[in-house]
Amino acid sequence: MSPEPSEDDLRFVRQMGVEYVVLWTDGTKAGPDYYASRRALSSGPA
Amino acid sequence: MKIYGFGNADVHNQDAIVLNLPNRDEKVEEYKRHLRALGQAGIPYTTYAHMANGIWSTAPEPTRGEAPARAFDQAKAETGHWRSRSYHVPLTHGREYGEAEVWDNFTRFIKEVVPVAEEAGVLIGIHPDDPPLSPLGGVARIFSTFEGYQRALAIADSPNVGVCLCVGCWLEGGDLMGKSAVEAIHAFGAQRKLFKVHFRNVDHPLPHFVETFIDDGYMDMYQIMKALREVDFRGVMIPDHIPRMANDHRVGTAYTIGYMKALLKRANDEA
Repeated sequence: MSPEPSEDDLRFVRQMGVEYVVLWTDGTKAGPDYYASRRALSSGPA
Repeated sequence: MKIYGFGNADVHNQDAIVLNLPNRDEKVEEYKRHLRALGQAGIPYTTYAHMANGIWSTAPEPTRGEAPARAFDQAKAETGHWRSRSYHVPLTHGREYGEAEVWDNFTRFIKEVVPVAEEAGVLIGIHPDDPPLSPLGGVARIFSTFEGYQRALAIADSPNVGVCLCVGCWLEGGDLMGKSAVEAIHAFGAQRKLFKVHFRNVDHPLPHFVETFIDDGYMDMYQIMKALREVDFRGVMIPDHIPRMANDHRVGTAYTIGYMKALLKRANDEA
């Protein structure tokens, strides 16, 4: 899954019943704030 | 839905680290920052690969239904890729780099990053070489056998260093791996070293393979799922390198996830 998924992407993943995801980024974005922001996004409301 | 892991492609498959190039220390510090950032964000896992000259493929070949799929034919292999960089035969880095040198560089790297991973509470899963064939472009590869993994895990000597078991790579290697994929799952599972699994299939082992849909390779993937159930695998499984289906990446993803969930149900029901 893209680390910056659209609402439609998130719905697709949730509809498949996926419980955990693994994301990738690069050095331009890597950092605690970015990782934390992605964590919040993936755990948001369905 | 939770994030199990986050990778950073700029500290993964880095020739600077694998070959001890001039910017090696800078890359290792970047890797440490990545680990600390994951720890601060509460993300427990990252994958690391120790390939200096990327992932090697040859021209895509058709798999079932003429779907284009990644392929590798040793007789035609000329180029490896990682991100925007390409690496070409005969020598991708100007000279030959032997196993001893690559092991020395791995040892130095892992000894430096293990304390940071432990302090941050982050697991590092080491991905196999893809393809698991050594050398390529004059550079040795050390994560192409079960024995190589055992040596690396002993060097790391840390509960935070384990295996990202790409079943596809393991099947690419076939007998060259020293243990079958099922045997490797039992061995790594017993050591509690299985952190993540890439669930994919290929048509044949080396020297020439084509990636396939999950149910169409030479491996009966139920045997993989059953072995993971038998070792009480607690990490994460992902679909991987799915050939394009119906010209829409979501179709193949849904097909693969559905197949995996059915295998998991069967493995749980039969346990």
